[in-house]
Amino acid sequence: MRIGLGFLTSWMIAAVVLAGAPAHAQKKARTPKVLTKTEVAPVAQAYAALVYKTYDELLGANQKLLSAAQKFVAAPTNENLEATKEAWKAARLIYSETEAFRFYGGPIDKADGAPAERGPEPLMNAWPIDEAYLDYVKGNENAGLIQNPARPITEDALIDANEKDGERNISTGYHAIEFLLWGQDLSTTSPGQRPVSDYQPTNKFAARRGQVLVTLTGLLVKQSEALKTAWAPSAPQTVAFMAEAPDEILRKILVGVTTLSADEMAGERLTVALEKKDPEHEQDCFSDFSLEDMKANQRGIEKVLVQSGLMDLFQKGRRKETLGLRRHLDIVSKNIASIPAPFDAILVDEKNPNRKKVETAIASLQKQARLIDGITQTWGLELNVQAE
Amino acid sequence: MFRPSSWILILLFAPLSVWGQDKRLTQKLGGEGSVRSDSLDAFSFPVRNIKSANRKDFMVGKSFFRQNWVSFPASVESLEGLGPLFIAQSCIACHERDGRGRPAVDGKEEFRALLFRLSIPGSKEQQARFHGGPVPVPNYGDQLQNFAIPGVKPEAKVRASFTETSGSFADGITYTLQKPVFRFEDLAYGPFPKDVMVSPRLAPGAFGMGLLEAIDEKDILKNADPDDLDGDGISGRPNFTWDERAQKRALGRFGWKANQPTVLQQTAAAFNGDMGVTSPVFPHQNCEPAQKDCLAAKAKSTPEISQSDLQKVSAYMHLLTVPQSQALTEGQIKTGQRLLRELTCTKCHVETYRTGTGTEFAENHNQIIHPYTDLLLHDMGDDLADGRPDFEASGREWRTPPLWGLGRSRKVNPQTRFLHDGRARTPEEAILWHGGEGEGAREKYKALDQSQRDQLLTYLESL
Repeated sequence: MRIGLGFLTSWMIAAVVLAGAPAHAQKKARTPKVLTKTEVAPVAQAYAALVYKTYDELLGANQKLLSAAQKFVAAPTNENLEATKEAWKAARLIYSETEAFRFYGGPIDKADGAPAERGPEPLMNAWPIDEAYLDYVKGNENAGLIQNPARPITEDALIDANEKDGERNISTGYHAIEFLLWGQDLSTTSPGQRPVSDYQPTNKFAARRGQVLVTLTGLLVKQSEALKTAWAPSAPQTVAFMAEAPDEILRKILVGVTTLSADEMAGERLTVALEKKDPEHEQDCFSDFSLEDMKANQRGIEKVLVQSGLMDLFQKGRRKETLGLRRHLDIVSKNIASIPAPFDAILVDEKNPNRKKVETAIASLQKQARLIDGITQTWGLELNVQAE
Repeated sequence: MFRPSSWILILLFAPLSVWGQDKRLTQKLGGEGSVRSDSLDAFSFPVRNIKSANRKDFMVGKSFFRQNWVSFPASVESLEGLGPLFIAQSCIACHERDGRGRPAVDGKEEFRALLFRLSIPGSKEQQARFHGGPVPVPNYGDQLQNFAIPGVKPEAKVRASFTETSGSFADGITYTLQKPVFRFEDLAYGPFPKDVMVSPRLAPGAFGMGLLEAIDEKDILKNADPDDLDGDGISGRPNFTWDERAQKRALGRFGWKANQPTVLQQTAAAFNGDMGVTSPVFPHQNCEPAQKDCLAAKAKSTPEISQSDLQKVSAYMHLLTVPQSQALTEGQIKTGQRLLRELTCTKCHVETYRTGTGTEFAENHNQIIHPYTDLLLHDMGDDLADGRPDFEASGREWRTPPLWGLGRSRKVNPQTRFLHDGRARTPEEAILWHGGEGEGAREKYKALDQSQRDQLLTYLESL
């Protein structure tokens, strides 16, 4: 070891002292404006209220899904299966809106604390899924923990099995339930066609399958209830959120929407699906519901920006750019809406002319994040938006 | 060491907040690509300065990193090739959320994120055949695979038990340490030879590797002092290992003994050794001649991961960002950094580099980074010695592991542990296990009072 440590020590300490000035101030010509509590408090208040209200709606939708699943398992008819699928879709749409509240370590994906305090996102939304981990698949008729009587079916056992030894080993959440309702999607013209007989006494594992379905939907109810409670107006989490520094509050809210837009929607859900040309890589691959999810994701982003008063705050900082963002929100919605269902038909066919539409949607989602990032430079906020 | 100029200093820190009395700062440990994230996904983001042309490869590589491989033949052709012998079905199974793995600790669960390298001393000829690297154990190869596809026997089961020792700090407060003892049961291909050498290795975090590869070789070698000429009790030796693609000797940077020279080769080696997936870099199934069931298993005739898919996983590894440190006050940062230097930790856990321009991804070039490693080998004493040389690393030497991401590792994966065999339950226990060249630093740590120890650990946990 031969470096001059005395020299190193002195300059490192110098670095700390010098670092008092914000980094952005050094790189950019304009000095960032300081956000005041007066400006941000109403935004924080409205945001917390929106999050609380949306999780309340999610709780209601999950309760309906649970009732439908219980009814279906008790009386496994086609009609009850269809009703459960509809209830799943209704809950899924609200969940997709709540995804705008992810990515900053809030209650949904908090990485701190005891296991029970950690965010439930990996249990609620894990995807993509290796179906054979849970139930039979074409070519592997005996697969899955449902068909293995040695595996206990309790809430704890299913939680414990989720993402064990791999992120594709999914045993809980919306996509596991989706697979239990629709089954594998083996066609690009229709969603999965799980026969209702999978839940009827003629099937050897019907009771276990039904038990898993009800346990998992019950778990969603508990999780959405906990999220709602965390965001109640006087809950400690909400109080702590409101008490953060104004720029930190704004940073968190916007890391949520920009990460959803550029990394999750444009990246994981559209780019990877297009590039891998694999129908399993559409997000709701069993129900062919991915495009509806995507529209709801964008609704979630818009609600955060508009209903929490962020657009008004933006307008004060950067008027012209804010008008541009407002127009762009509509462009993104239109671009997503222009992709024709079913999504998997576009993915598997490299010559499908609608791939262009997906690429356009990807570009506009990335731009949406960049526009928000650009506006927040007024205050020197640091979002994780990629520069290009 | 480069000469920092004032503009560099300014970029070192990002202010978290200019509000309130206690200004809290984060450090951009991975340069301008460092993102701020306090969520479970903290290790899973691309460098912020990723070029748009690389974004697709990053995303597809990320998907491969998470994908479960299946045995041949299967319905999805791009994912055929698991086994015949393997340890895990996916990369992410061990590098949980792109971070560190967790060893099995209950004595029942089978090991996955902790693997076991095997070798024998071998003859001169054998050593030459493996370019001076480990000579594989007949019947088992150079790594234990404790899982297999149907019809093939897993090589063994591994069980751990722990022995406890205790000690005390200078202030009289006591501590207890655990050391694992591993047993190998159900050896399917005969007993191990008497001269077998075994080295446990815990899956490290997968982030920041592109930046470590981008450090100029001369900046690593200038910290080396193999004969301890400066007499500070710390040597620091580079490991020279073998580059399979270039077919030449090369500086090792990755792995617990710095036995892999590049991100690409590290990735291909893990595909081959850990998942049984062949690639253009390592085209052979890892079946030994005595493993007849392994050799007889149906397999693809072409590499199971194509060159282009392997490149995408490699791009993912190169571009996975190091998150910024968690926010501390200026005072906390200053104190933590001062203690690290006073305890001489930073003699091996070298704080700062400016990366070069010699690697594939320009995003990682010319970055001021704080990995806290010299990427060199150090004798860490009897207690940590594995007794298994690996290229030029002796059975007592380990590569200084980077400390960036240390505290956050426990948030992303609360069940992770530290050191090569996962014996340390906390960063403090890892410090207390330091011996050999690290003994002086350990003794200085033990001499600190409780509040100073807490200050140091607070800083480490923020990284």
